Amino acid sequence: MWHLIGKRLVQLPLLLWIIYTVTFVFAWLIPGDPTERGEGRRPPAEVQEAMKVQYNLDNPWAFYVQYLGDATGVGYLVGQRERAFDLGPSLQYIDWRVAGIIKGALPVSLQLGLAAILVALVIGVSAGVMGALRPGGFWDWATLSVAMVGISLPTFVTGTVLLLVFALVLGWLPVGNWGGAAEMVLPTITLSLPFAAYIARLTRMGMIEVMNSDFIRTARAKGLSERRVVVKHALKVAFLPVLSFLGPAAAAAMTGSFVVEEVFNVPGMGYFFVAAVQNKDLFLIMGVVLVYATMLIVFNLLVDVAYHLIDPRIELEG
Amino acid sequence: MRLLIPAVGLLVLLLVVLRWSDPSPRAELTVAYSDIKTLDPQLVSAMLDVRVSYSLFEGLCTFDPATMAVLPGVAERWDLSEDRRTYTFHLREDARWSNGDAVTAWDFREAWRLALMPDLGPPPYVGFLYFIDGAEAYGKWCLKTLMAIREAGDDADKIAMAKRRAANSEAKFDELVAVKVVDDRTLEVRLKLPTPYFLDIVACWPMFPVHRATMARMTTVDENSYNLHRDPTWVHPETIVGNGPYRLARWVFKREMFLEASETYWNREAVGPQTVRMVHYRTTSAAFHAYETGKVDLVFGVGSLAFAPELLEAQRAGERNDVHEVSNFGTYYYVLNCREKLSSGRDNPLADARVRQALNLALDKEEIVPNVQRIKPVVARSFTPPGGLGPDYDHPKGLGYDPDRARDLLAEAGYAGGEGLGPLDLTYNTNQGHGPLVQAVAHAWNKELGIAVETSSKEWKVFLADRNSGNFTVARSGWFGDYGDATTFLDLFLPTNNNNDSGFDDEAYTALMDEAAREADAGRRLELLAEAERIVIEERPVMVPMYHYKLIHLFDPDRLGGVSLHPRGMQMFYRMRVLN
Repeated sequence: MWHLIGKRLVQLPLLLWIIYTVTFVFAWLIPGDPTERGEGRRPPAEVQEAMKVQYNLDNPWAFYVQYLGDATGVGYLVGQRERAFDLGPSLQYIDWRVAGIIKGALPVSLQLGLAAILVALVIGVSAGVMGALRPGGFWDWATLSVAMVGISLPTFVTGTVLLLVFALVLGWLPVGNWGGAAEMVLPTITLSLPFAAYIARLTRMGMIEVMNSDFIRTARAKGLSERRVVVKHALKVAFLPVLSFLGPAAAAAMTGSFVVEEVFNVPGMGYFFVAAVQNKDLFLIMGVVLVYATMLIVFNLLVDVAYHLIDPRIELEG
Repeated sequence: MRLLIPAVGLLVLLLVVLRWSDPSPRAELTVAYSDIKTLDPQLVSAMLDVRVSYSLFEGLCTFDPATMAVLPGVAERWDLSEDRRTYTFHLREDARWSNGDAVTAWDFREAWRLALMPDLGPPPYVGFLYFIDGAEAYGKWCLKTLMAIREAGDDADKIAMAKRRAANSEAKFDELVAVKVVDDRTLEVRLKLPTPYFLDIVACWPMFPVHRATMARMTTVDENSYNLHRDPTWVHPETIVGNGPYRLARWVFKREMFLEASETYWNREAVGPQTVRMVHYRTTSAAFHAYETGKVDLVFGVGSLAFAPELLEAQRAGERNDVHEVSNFGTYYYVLNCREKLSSGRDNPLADARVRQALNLALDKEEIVPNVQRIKPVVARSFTPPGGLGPDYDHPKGLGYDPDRARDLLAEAGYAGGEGLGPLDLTYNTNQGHGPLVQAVAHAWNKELGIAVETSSKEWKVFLADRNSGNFTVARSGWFGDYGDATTFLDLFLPTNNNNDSGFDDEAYTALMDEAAREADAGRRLELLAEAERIVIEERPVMVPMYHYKLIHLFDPDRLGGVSLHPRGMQMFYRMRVLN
């Protein structure tokens, strides 16, 4: 296992570098002038020119190299920069540096994403197990239908409906604010539904397969209670496909969902993926992508390690 | 039992996650807010940012937001010289920065000096300072010396040169610019020309002072561009030093801002709400829901809501009393390209003023505008909006609806029945609800004049770049006035103005604007300006004005007083009053 972790950690910079390069090429090709501000008051042309020189916006190669140096901390190590891992200033939100923006938004996204994945796990696994115990029975049919709806309906529909019913009509939950636990309920449920549905289907498939296998028969023959058979023996194996789904799912949930954020006014990261590209805010695009890519790689590594812990038979290849 | 362990684990994890958020305490006044772009007064240009600026800073003069009358601010009084070119401002003794330092004349001199340097990112309102004698020359000197460093040979020590330039820049300012610190509490300013609205300018945010020690600490020479670079994070709560009625207690990006009444503000008795919380809402509808459920007391500008017309209806029917409409100090228009050639190299049919007149005359705006814009903004006939400029300015009548004359003019120009005009390109920016009005206008031009109109929508950045470089024939546009004089609108069409997208370069217009700038008689001056506006609206139109923006604010008048309904849209939180 240590071998795997070591190997992945060596791969990490290489992967990040490839992602950085590809993102940079596309970001640079976005049409428009990054120094242009929305409000329509344009500074003298020389001033705009000076700003481009200051941020290397006139020279893609210089930008590419310098930003890479700043973001990785190389610039700091060779003593050219005061800050390590500097993701640069935001060109659109001029009072902020990219690191400051991410520092404000990422905890919110992590919080919402983690809560959503936990809820999805609880709902998804219970529904999947319930369905798999009697395939074709009422519970199977019911959970499958709900899962189908959960996967098919986009979050802007489920979110809006939940908002309308629980916040505006019934008035049980507050809307349009972020802070307390009550405000988290609706966005968490909305964000968790597609994940829960997917997990339910994965669990059900895995369980049905496992319940027919020889070692379950043996376990039953030993006289173990049905609950023990399901929880201790079957679920452990059936959970593996869910686990491999959890890595990318957690990364996706925790880096923010633009739609859920819009509907519930959640101040998370999802917005910046979209806004940065729209504004051609080069520093923000690169910073957000680097942070997201790192998270994705790390989560996948964590999943692989968890795999190994649950089922040591599985060979871990780098 | 074994099932309990993961369940409890999950629950604990969830609780830990929940503990992460730490909302601010309740404030006396909670305002729904959207994007705040910057708090640096010299860089502010959006109306929302302006309101925060006036909470954190104060200029020599300030406004009564209800009437836009100029009031004493840091200056308790001022004198104007005989020739109306020299103002002497006398600063009050008890004006203090939020850290307790006295606000002195030096702080204004330093703020204006820094704003004139092209170094500190694009200062959008540097033109405000050009009213001062020598200011423009100083800006040019700064630019010239900066360019000289950049173009110096590779072996030169450019960083040392840049540091020398920064050191020299103070002496150069005193040499060139007619801003004189007589003593700590007296500032003398000589203007290029008598400027009757100069106090209105002095009260605006780009003229706010800076705390010199903070500026010195946060400013360095940038090693790429040899610019002086001010760390933009100086406006964050830990570092900002202001002199306004509030101090910035907390600012979480895109989430909320918390203001507390400043203990050092000279006029702290006048401060109404002692705490103001601005909560960020990404969409107007989220802000509206928050207002309806009592989470916020005040929402500015809900006109973009799909059901805004119904809100206005409910107000008129007496079912609500909290919907307030204000005709704003801005105009929505289509800018016409006046250049001889289009960017494609083709001759521009709109170079002929008669074609531009015809495009104006062919539109029945009284019919089109209220049908498309259901909140029914005031239909525009002139560029300058009614209200906000005072009663003495005589707005031109504009070109009304006269399709017969439009067709005649088009024929005179050689395009009878729209023949030969080619497809006319009408551009707008995507996603902001401009499409329906564009389609209605295109349809009317086609129906009345026979012109084939091709509409195209572009992403905002692309749209701005194209409009600025003249790569359009007709383009959507809008402009808000900054100060209470017609020049805040009319300067836009001078050939030297960097925001003049039309490419309009008209000798008679420039001459009239020049004459007005030199005219001593206030009444005659306004006549000259109105005459100039008649040129760009009627004789050789540079635009098709459509309507004047309308703002709709939501607040309960029985609970909240002091919200301004003046067209210029200025709001000062410290003048608001939370009732009962």
